[in-house]
Amino acid sequence: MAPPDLAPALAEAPPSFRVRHASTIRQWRLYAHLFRRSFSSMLGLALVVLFLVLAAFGPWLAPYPGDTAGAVKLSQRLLPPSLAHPFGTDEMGADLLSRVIVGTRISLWIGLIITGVGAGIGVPLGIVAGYTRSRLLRGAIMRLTDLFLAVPGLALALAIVAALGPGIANCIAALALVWWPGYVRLVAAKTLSVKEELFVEASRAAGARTPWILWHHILPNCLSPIIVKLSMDMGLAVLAAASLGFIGLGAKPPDPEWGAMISVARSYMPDWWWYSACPGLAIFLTVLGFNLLGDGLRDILDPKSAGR
Amino acid sequence: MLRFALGKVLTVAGTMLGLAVLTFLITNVAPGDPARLVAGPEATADMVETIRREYGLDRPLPVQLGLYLRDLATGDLGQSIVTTRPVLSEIGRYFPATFELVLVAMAIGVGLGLPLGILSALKRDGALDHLTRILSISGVALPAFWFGILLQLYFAVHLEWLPVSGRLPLSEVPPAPITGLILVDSLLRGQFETFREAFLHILLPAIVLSFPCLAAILRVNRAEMIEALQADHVVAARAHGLAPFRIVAVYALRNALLPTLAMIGLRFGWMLGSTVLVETVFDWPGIGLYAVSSALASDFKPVVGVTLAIGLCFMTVNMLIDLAYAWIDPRLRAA
Amino acid sequence: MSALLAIEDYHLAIPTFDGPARVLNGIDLALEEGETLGIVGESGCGKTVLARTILGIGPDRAERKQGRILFEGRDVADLSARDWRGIRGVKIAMIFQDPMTYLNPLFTIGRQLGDAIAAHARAEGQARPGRAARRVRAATLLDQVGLREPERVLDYYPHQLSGGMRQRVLIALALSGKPRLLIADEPTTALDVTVQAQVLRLLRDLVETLGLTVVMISHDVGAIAALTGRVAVMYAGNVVEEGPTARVLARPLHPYTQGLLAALPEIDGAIRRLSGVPGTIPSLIDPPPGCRFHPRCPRATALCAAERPAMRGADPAHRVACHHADLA
Repeated sequence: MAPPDLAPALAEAPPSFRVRHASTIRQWRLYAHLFRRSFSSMLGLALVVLFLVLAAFGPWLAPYPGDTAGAVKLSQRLLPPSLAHPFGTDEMGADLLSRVIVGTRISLWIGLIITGVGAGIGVPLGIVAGYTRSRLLRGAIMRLTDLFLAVPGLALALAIVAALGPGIANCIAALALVWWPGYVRLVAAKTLSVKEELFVEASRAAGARTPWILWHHILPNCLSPIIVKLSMDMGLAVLAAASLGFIGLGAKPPDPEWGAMISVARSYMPDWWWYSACPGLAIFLTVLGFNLLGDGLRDILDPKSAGR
Repeated sequence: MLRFALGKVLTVAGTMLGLAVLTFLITNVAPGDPARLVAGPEATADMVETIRREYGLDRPLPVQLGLYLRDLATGDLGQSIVTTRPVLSEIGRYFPATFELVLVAMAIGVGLGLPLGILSALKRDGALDHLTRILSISGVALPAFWFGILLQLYFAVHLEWLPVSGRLPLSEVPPAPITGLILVDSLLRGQFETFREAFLHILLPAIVLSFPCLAAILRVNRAEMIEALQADHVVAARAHGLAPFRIVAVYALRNALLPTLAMIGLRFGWMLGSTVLVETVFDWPGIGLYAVSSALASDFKPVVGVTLAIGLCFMTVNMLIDLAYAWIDPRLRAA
Repeated sequence: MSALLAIEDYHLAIPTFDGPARVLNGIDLALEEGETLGIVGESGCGKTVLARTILGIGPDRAERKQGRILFEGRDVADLSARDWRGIRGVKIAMIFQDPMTYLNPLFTIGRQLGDAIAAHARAEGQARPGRAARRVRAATLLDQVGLREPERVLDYYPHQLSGGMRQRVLIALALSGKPRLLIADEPTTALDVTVQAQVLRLLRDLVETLGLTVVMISHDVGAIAALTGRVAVMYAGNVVEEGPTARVLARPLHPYTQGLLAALPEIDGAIRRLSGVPGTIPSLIDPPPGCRFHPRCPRATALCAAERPAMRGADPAHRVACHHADLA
């Protein structure tokens, strides 16, 4: 650990922005330095940016944008990889690469909604559970959380989808419903420890109202682990949705959803073995990218919990 | 210690009760008609009405919940529409296959994850450490169903070393069940050829299932070992002149094992969830495949039954892990 | 007679994001057999790093820049793990600061003592003592450090003992190899005041009866005064004053030592803040030029910022690194 910087700030003139924020600037320079130094973090960032670009501009980037709209070109059915079709074509003659590129937007939306709803439910509940003085309220929230965590998420989501009926919207709803407990655990634990800190005690003693304390002290201090978890969960949610799509309970095959594509590919195994390569690779790289990014963020934002 | 164990058992029982209520809510709060859900999509309106009366679905919800819980308490999980057999006995039939798969996968995960984690912690930033880092990162990101397909294509279709799917070849008669685990039963019955076949069949699905678990255990164990090796008491053990091997293998490892154990429990549940995928890919006749095919056939009772079974299994394992925790850590034992 | 321990112009740096921190900046110290040397200074002055470096358990990434550490005439600064065998615990032992964290929480006291005893036997080429023999020896050691009912304590886990008892266990662990040199790193800091006195008394008795050679690190001048014959005062990686403890405490020459002593709590309980020493210790990454103390020193002149003072003294036993010390 470096000892604190003791450079005397003795300027007569009003200090410049650089001087006033010297420690903040140094902090961010350190973050940037640590992040850039880590190859895996940079790889994660690159992958995430790549898929974000594909999601935003997919229809313009795909080599055969028409193929995703359900064009049928029977003369080009199930072609092996070639220069014209780097990952081959599917049973309708559509270019697989194009379908996967266009499918990026679906997958990222699904991931975003699931993690967004999960965090949207979980973070407030966690803050309440951690901050409240009512043991009853905290107990109720934590028991409910334990209950949802008592069954592995995918199994519970499967049951919910089975009740709601298959389909992409129900699949998202089911996953969002099993996704929030992780945030409650994380935020409640963090809130419990931050609540005891002196600066919170001090502002409480100074008469600050609870919402103000929650907003200005508790939430900012929980933010690092939340950001890390959001990044990791983006990848995992994409994976979970693709899993349900693969089983046949999520998106239905004409949609260019990656998991559903692999599900179709399975029936063309082993003779058309390349069919699943492109969607599988897309899932793998997306999840990998968000994981590496989250991991890199954790290393700089929340180093103590690294590896957990 | 006894009180500790008793408390854990009570917690599991309480959570199971909660889980039962939760599944009830999922069935009844979900938009759609529970009677229609039970009857299946092909049922006529008359049949739905009959079922509604027969199952008491026309009564108030709290009464229904009471009936449902009473049935569960007596082990009645309802009937499968597709097979018209009680769900409980079907789960009993499919569960050993899943249990066997998870056990073998866990053995691979722990058996490779622990030593690799220790070794990469000892030689930080060495060649092995970089290798294990790639392994641990890709392990979480690889979609199990896709990875399974790739392994099938390469090892089963291309090289023809291993069977594509199933638990045994169709020609093979499974040994008369003792434990229900074919690997164990075939050995107990002295059917070594069956054992060989069963082993070859379980290899690919177990590897696919174990991979994320291996990655997670490796990661946690590495991080915890690094932390333990820097702990004050390990520094002290060095200062007292203890042999490096003893410091690593006894003093640091015991401390690193506690969080690793927690991770193993967590991953066990994760594995149970993933059997849904892996068993689908490998046509493995376990409860995961049973749940998936039932869900696809809108046969709802089996899905609920499997969910409850997986929950019970997961909680039991975690309870055992909590007990092991207390056994290793004397500070918890007193509590 | 050559010194048991001799540290010669030792420099140590730890790389950090902002550049190397020069933690030890030319340390010269020597210790004869049977001597007790205290090292005193504020936290962060490098005394703990120095103590650990003697035993080869210093910070992982620390680099020796210059100098030697001679133990029994042999440079130990870069020994391999194999060469340390037979020295650590057997010839040089250490008592640590915080008795909670320096005992492994998952093993009984008997197990931890027994393992140390077995390791020492092996280092001296003897057969591994059996379970019963280890237990007897461990109980003897616990008895020696004044723990009642040693047999029962052997079966306890660290969390079942009080702070004072744990500290006695740490002392027993350090004594288990019959070391020639004992390094005590803040052995009383983490303890209650009443227990501190007991542990200090125990240490003094042990030093006398066993004839131990001791290096004791502390920021507690009282503890140093109670236990050591000679004292070295450290500031920001340098030794700034060294001499017989009684003389240094009675008549400090360095302005830093004077400030440190002035800050001692009075008998009536009032604590005067470090009145003679305003400011805080400097950055070790970018230390002040010349004398590292000059920015805080009341006597500082242009010379102090320009030139690092050498150790000097009218009496070779009491030396000081200050351009303006009154040596008369």
